[in-house]
Formats: sequence, structure tokens, C-alpha cells
Amino acid sequence: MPELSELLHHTGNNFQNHIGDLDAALRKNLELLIRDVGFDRAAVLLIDDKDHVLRPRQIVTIHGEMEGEGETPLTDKKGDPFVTALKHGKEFVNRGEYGVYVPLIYNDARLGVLRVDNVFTRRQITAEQLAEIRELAPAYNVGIHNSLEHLHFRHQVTKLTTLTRIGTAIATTLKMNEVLELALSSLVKDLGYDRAQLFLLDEATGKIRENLSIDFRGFFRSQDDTSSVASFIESLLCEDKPAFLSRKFSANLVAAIPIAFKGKKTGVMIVDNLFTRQTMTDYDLSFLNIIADQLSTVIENSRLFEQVERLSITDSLTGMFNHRYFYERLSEEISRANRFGANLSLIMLDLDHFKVFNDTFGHQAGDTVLSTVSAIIQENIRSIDVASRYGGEEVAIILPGTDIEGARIIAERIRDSVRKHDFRFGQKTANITVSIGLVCYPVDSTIKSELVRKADHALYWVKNHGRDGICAYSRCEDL
Amino acid sequence: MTTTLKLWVMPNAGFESQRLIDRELTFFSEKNPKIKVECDILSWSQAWPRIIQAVKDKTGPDVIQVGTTWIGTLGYLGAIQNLDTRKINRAGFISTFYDICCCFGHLWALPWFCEGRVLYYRSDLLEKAGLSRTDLDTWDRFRLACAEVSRLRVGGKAVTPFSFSCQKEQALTQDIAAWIWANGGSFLSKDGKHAAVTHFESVQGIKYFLDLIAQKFIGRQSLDQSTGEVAENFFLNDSSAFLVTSSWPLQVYLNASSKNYVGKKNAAHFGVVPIPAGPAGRFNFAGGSALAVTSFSAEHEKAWKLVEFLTGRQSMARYCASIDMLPARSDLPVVLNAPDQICKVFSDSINHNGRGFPTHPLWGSIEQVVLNGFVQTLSEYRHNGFNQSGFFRNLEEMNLEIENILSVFGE
Repeated sequence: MPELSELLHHTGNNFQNHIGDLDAALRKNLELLIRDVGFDRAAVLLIDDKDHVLRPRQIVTIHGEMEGEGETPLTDKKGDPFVTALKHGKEFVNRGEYGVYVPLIYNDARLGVLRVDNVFTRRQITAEQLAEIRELAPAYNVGIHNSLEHLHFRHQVTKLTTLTRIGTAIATTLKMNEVLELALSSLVKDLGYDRAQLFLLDEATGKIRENLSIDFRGFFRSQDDTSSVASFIESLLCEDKPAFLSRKFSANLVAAIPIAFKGKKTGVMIVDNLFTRQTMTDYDLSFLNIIADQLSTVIENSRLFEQVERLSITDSLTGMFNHRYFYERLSEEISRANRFGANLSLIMLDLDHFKVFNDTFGHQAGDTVLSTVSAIIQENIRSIDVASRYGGEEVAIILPGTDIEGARIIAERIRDSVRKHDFRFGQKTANITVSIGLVCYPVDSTIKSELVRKADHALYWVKNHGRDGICAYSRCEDL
Repeated sequence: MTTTLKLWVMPNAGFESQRLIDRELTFFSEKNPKIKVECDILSWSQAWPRIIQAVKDKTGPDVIQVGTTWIGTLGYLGAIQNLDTRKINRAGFISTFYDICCCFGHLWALPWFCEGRVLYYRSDLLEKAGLSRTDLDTWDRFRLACAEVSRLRVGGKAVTPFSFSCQKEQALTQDIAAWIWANGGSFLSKDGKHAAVTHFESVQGIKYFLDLIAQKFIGRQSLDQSTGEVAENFFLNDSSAFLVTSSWPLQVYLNASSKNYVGKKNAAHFGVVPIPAGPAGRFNFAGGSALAVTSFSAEHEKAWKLVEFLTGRQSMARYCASIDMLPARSDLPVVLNAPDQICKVFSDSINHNGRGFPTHPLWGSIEQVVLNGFVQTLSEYRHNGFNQSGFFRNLEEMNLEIENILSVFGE
């Protein structure tokens, strides 16, 4: 049998060598109590202040590691040996159970209970065993305290590192998704949460526009279709503060943190431990809230960046794209059509007699007509089509994947809608018509400037032949 | 060169756990001299966090024992290997358990041993009340039988018909499930996307069970005891006539040759029957354990050999007989330290009446909500009596919380 001093030395060493792994340290030390002090069973139960219970952390017996009892509530249950030991702050020998319960206390803070017994061999605790466990208990107090503190500090360091990394990313990139991915990935990979999800809202509609998530295995996913969870997420958005999704019967396994910038909600972050079932604390909630605050800045910056970018390509009067953007997109769409062997059509539209209209009704009325016609055009084209203000009253519309017949149908719809629209200015009514020229890639040309020129040519052919009409370039050449 | 495999199992045979698994490993090593197996016995409460940590660290044992309700989660997380390409004789396993090991279209583990819930009864008390086994066959007859037993007095003391623990233990959900299923109810919708606790059939199933408490057919004292205490009282005292549990008491209370044997007082006066059939049929919770190869095992093939061996006919027959659990193979007879009639009832409990919980990746969290909900409902019930609005409020809350979990899961 080793000397007590030797046992003390080994116990301290085990705690020190496994400072980051309390379970391993306890296992090794409890094994010493079985092997060298001769107990049948040794267990450490730690207090969970949140749940007010004592929870078995490690149990070792002469038969190896064994199934232990469940949680012990810390209520003053009459005669409960755990509670008795803790209440009086000193060991409690329970002869009926052949055991002794030693409270683990560090600087007046209750950590838990060390329980040793001879329950299998039904031997009473000997005086030597009692003396040794009394001597060893302080080493457990220090070891467990240090280990828990170490884990706590390590976790704090990881959290701070995560915050710093996200902060650096915000300062060095304008790419929102890169930062969001980094943040979500840190929550799972570094901080050990099971999963993290972000639901971003569309500014205009307030509906979810994107869901970014990282799962338990670290796989990142971006989804546009969030219809299945839309109502659930919208219900979360009613909350202003971070909160656990626990209600009456759930543990704190899901945290929902609203993301808002200057009071305006831009999304919601959901972090869960639904697989590991590790309950979260208020500290988790506070920390996640800090992350959410940082992300709100990223989302806002990105929104502003998109807004500036949008303004630089938008015509302020009509809300359509501008001349520069039209040419950029036309190049892109021609390349795409070329790559996929697809058609592309171009509509060139001009308001008839617009100068006369301006002279009669005034320039303010002219502006109103332009923005109304722009709205009519937007209503009659698809989301993939690109309408741009090409010149004063001239509009160019790119129709990807559309042949000349398809373009004619769309053009006819626009012409008809404009003609039927009731333009009223005070007591007066104006009839507005449009002339439209059409070209098709690659049939009419494969060169950008040629396409535009030929569309213009077709448009002026209509202008010269009575206006309020449509003509495809290939057709007007024949006429 | 010798390869060392790590195996994690739970204490399947109480104090005998290490010895009995080591015996099987010795047989394995005789057949595979170049494979050494080190086995750790983990407590059930420690096993889940240890396995999950191993999954996160991507390092740990090569083979693990998994509770059948864990398979969905571990499979979904990719913690265990799918066994689709392995050569397995599916017909060799009891289909209920083989199916439980299959989730999301893949096989993740091989059934090792299983358990089915049955109704234990005290034959002497039944006889005294002028009843027979057949009087326990259906819900209606069982209720009448409880009424008859409640009129008995033994040694001047009244007998409580039914002992049932309502403490916060997983067994509570498993035991109440039988009454929900027997009424055609369920916990989740068929597609696993919605909660079904408030469905009419589920509600009425729970209500039938609560009525047993209201009519004082379930002893108030037992409600406050743990499942272990309830069983101990059933087998060692005369306090009640019926108890629902699995096969473990056979070893502890009835098999004098078992090292876990603690008493024999009523050994001659008990029998088992299937849990009473409800309007939708007869069901009982069937669970058990399976063996799986971890996805982080560096020795897939050797680990698979170990799984094949332990789930093989010889080893399973030997191991199950020694731990008083039911073998999960269809080509093995149910051999328990009990008369044939008892073996037959247990055999039916796994082959015909057995049902497992839904194999949803988040079942563990869902089960916790169900458990807490039941504990709260039963607590309110026994302290304040039946209150319809309170009862429905609890069920609706459970339903909503399960819906929330399913929504957060988002798949």
C-alpha cells in the first residue's frame, strides 16, 4: 500500500496533468481510491447551481466504471446523505450504506460531494480509510476548482479570440457572406455549439431572404428557400431581446438572438445544442448577443454598399438601370448566350411625339409619363429581363433566352398597356404611344454594337412608318 | 502485428458487466489472435456526452454500443458508419430491431440485444380476486380487473392494483407510449415533420392512463418512487398486483443463481402477460442495444469483424442468456431464466407488439420535452386531480415545443 504522502502526490499530479480534462483526472484519482485505499466505489458529484442538483461526474467501482444514480436535488430532503454532508460542511458517515460523503468546498464555495463506500463487500468504513479520505479531500477541492477555472478561462479566451477574429474580418472585407460564414463557423468549431443559423431579412418586404447555416459537422449551407420555417422565424422576430427557445418543458438548448441595427431588425441568429443536449446559460446568451451586434454592423455595411452600388447604376427618375449598366449587362448576357448556345433579344423603345407632349403639358408631366411608362414596362417583363433608360425617352430592354417571336409578344404587351393607360393631367387627358424595334442575337448579329445599332434602325423604321408599332430588324429590312 | 480495438459498452449486467463482456472478447481473440480488444464500461448517463465528444474530436473507440433511440442521431451526424455494403443476413435478425437500426435509408448498426415491456402480475392476488390472465387482455378488462383487485385486503392492508413510477426517468416516456400507441396515437406525424401529441388519438390514450390514476388504480405511493423502488416493492412486498417493465427483474428478483439476485419472496407468485390491447391494437415499447462501427475508427474492417462476432448466433446466445436480455436474432430462441410461458410473452413483446420511438435526428431533445411534459402533467394530476384545461394546456405546450425543435432542425 502506498504511503498517504505518495497518494497525495499522485492525486495532485493527476489533477495537474489533466488540467484541461476534469473527467480524466477524476477517473484516475477515483481509481487510486479503489486500488490504494481499498474502497468498493468512489464517486464525485458536482453541483449544478442552475438546476439545483448534484450530478454524478465520475463513478469508479471495483467492477470498473459503473452506472450511477441520477441527479440528486439540492432541496433539504430529510436524511439525504449528500445534502446532509453539504449542509453541515463536513463529512457524513452513513453506516447503513457503508459509505462516507465528503463535501467538496473551495474558499467557501460548494463544489460537490466526494462519496466513497464499501457497498459491494458490505464492510464498514475503517478508521484508516476515513483518515485517508479526510487528508485527500483538500487535494480534490483544489484540483477540481483549478480544473473548472481552467476550463472557464480557456473558454473565455476562445470567446475573445472568436470576437477578435470576427472584428478583424469586419474591418478587412466588405464581403458579407465571408464574415457571416466565419462567425457561424467559429461558433460551432471553436466554441462547441452544435449548430448556428442566420436568417437574413429582405429590407423591402421584411420577409426572410436567405438562410445561412453551419451544422454539427462544420458543413456550411446557404439557402434561399426558407418557406418551411418562415412563419416560425417570423414569430421569433417579434422578440426584441435574445432569449432561449425554452418554454415549460424544454431545457435551454436553443438560443434565438434578434439582429438589429439602430432598432431595425435585419435578421435572427439561432444557435442550438439540440444534438449534444448541453444546456446553455445566460453567459452564452450575452456572448451570442455580442456576436449578433457585430454581425448587425456587417449586414448594415453590406446593405449600404449594395445601396451605393445600386444607385450608381440606376436612373433616378425612372428607377430603371442606366445607360452604363445596360452596356455592361448586354456584354454579360451576350457571353452567357454564347456559352449556352441560347438566344437573346433586345427591345429598343421610344415614346412617340414626346417633344410635343412636353411642350403641351410641361416637363413635369413629361417626367411623370416617363416614370409611368417605366412602371408599365417593369410589370410586363420577367425578373431576369433588364430594362434601362437608354436616352431621353428611349428605353432598351435585354431579354435573355428569348427569340424574336418571344420578344415580339413582350413588346406587344408593353405597347398595348401603354396605349390603354389613361394619362391624366388635371382636366386634360393624353394618349401616349410607343414605337419599338427588335433584334435577336445571334440571328441579327453577334456583335454588341451592331445589335444596338440594328435595334435602333428597326425603331426608326417604325417611327418613319406611322409610329405606335413594332418591327423586328430582319422584317423591316425586307419591307 | 497485433491491432488493438477500443470497445465502449454500457453496464449490461450490473456488477457482472466487465466479466461477461470480457468473456466474449476472449472468445473473439481466440478466433482473431491478431486483434486485441480493450473494453470500457460506461454508465448510461456518461455514455452520450462521451460519445458526442468523441464525434467532435473525431477520435475515440472503434466500436460502440448504442441505445436504439440514439441510432438516428448518430447516423445523421455521421458518427457511425453505414453498413449498407456489408454482407449481412437480414433475416437472421428480428425485423423490428433491424428496422430500428435503419434510418434515412441506411443501416447504421447491428442489433445486439433487446427488451420489450410486458405486464407483470401477482398470480396469487389475481386468484384471490377471482381473476385470470385473460382478464388483463384489453383496456376495458384491465380496468375491471384493477377495480376487483382494489377491493382486496392482504394482511389487513388494501392492495393497490397497479404500481407505476412517475419520476423523471426515460422509462416513463417508454411506458406511457404503449397507451398512446394502443389508441392509434403517436408522438410525431408520419413524415416526422410535425408533433402529434395533441392529435385526438394521442390525447385519448394519455387520458385512459390518467384515468387509472384518477380511479386510484395506480398507487399514489408508487408514483413518487423511482422505477427501481417500484419494482422492488412489487417483487418483495404485497403492495400491488401489476407492474409494467422489461426482463431485468427476472435476474434480480427471480433467478437465485444470478450474482445480481437480491430477493425471492414472491418468485412463485408472479406471471407476465402482454400489455393490454387498446382500440388500435396491442403495443409495447421495444428498445435495446445495437453495435456500431464509429466513423473515426482507423480499423474499419477489424472493427466490423468484432461487430459481426458479437452479433453472431453463438456469442449473442451466450451473452444474452447471461445478462437476462432478449437476443436480437430471429434465429435464436428467447431464453430467459424463466418458464416457457414467460419466454413466449417476452418473445411476443419484441416480435409482434414491439415498437420503437421515431428515428428522428433530434429525438433525444424531443423525448426530453415529452418526458418533462408527462412528469408535469402527472404531478398536477395527482396533486390537484384532473383539470381538463390544465391537461390540454400541457399537451399543447408539449406540442408547440416539439414543433419548435422541428422548426429549428429545419429539414
